[in-house]
Amino acid sequence: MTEIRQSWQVSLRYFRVLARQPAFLLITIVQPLIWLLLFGALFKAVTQIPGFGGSGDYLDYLTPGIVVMLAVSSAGWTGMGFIEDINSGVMDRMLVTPAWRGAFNVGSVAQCVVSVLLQTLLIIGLALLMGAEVAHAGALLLVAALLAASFASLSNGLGVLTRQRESLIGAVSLLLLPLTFLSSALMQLSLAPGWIETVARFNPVDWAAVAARDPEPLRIGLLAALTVLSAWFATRAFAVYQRSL
Amino acid sequence: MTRTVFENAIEAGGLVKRYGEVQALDGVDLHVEAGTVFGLLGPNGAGKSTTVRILTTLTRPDAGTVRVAGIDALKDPVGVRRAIGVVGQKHGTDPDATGRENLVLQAELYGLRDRRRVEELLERFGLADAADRQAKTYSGGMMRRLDVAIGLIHTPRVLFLDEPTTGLDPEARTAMWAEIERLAGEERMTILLTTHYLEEADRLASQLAIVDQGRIVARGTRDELKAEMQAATESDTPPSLNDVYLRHAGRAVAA
Ligand SMILES: Nc1ncnc2c1ncn2[C@@H]1O[C@H](COP(=O)(O)OP(=O)(O)OP(=O)(O)O)[C@@H](O)[C@H]1O
Ligand SMILES: [Mg+2]
Repeated sequence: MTEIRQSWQVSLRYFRVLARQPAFLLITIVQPLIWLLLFGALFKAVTQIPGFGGSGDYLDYLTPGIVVMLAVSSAGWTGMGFIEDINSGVMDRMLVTPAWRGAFNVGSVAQCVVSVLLQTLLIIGLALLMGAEVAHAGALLLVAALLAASFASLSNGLGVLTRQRESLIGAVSLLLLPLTFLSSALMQLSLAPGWIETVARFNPVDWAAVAARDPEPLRIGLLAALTVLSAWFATRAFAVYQRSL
Repeated sequence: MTRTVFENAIEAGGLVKRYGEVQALDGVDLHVEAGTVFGLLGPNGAGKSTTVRILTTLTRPDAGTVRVAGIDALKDPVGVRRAIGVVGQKHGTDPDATGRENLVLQAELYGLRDRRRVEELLERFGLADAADRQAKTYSGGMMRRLDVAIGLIHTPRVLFLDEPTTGLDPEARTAMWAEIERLAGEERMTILLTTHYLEEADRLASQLAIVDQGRIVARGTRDELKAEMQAATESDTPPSLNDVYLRHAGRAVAA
């Protein structure tokens, strides 16, 4: 109970930042729309490649892919907040309290998950307006939340361990594209070289992309496990950080 | 209500801390009697903040023992955290949150839901009017007062202040001194403060220690330190605290 309340109080910090920076809120809203329109136009041709499974509209295929991409890329930057907190002294002021360490991570992850869910709803709405069919909206939301939560925790852990903006920016830019393109987010893997299909099996972004289109317990379970594991990692990172102080 | 009786509010023995090549602490011993104000003096890089970080459970020593408020800080850091308040050398205020929000968050992190304490502290530190302004709009003095209010939110028994008045103008500094005296007097708090200002240590602290290069090079009451130096130098006039400091730390410091 205390843990939940503390996490909630910590998350309020981040929600306030969101609410007080209209520009940031605007970006959060506009970004998914641009992505959908842009990728939609660009990839329209993809579904016409012979062998592209399913005869459905290209947007039906693309919508879950865009949600997944957006979830990872939004979540990847979450750790920047902790780096700022470490530099400003806010982190130390929170760490001298008896509060549960997990609350610091959960509070920040909660804000990321809520933003991603809002963005997902926007994408679903726009896709529907554009005449797409969203077969598994519930699963899509669940998968987006799990993927965002895992990557937000990983980003937080990495931020606390490296304590440097440059390191986190480097890691995110290095990983984001490979993770996306070594998955079925935008492209059916049956059309990709065999090795990509093999690699994708170990890629959480692909788990999400597959499960978002065809909800299956195995991959959703894997994502849930990853969420717990990365939350544990982020919470442990505080102890490593404190040892270096 | 019964309270654990303890002679020393802070007891540290043989603290050692290394950062790679840097030997930040090289065997620091400290004893701070409950209900007193203890001043830790020393030049830049002496190891004051490192000592405070260890005593406040922010980090662990490579060797040594720490008891704060009668609790073993290495075995039960959470227990120590409940008993202590900390104001770090850096600001701890969240610049995007208002003064009130900063205090409410800290209260919640200690499991306190009563908001009266928040209002009381805003009032006492002259922040009531600015309570709903984001902390980044505060002046340096207001920010520091908010830092101290945050450290006091749960009415700690032992308070750590790492350079509480650095960067404050003379007026704000005098007000902060009065507040520290009030906490030690009325609220019977044990206070350990670090400072570069000898005047501050002279006025507030009944016991002093001078740290240099990770070691305590002198300790005692002001008068003991002065008398000891007077005897050692066979001087006719008692030295100032500045003389004592220069003799032990061997470097100049902002007076
Ligand atoms: N996290 C850290 N990593 C590496 N070195 C550190 C770290 N913290 C402190 N040091 C080094 O340890 C020594 C003691 O630093 P400390 O901050 O305790 O000094 P201080 O007495 O508080 O100085 P100041 O008066 O400037 O605040 C310094 O040489 C400092 O550079
Ligand atoms: Mg210091």
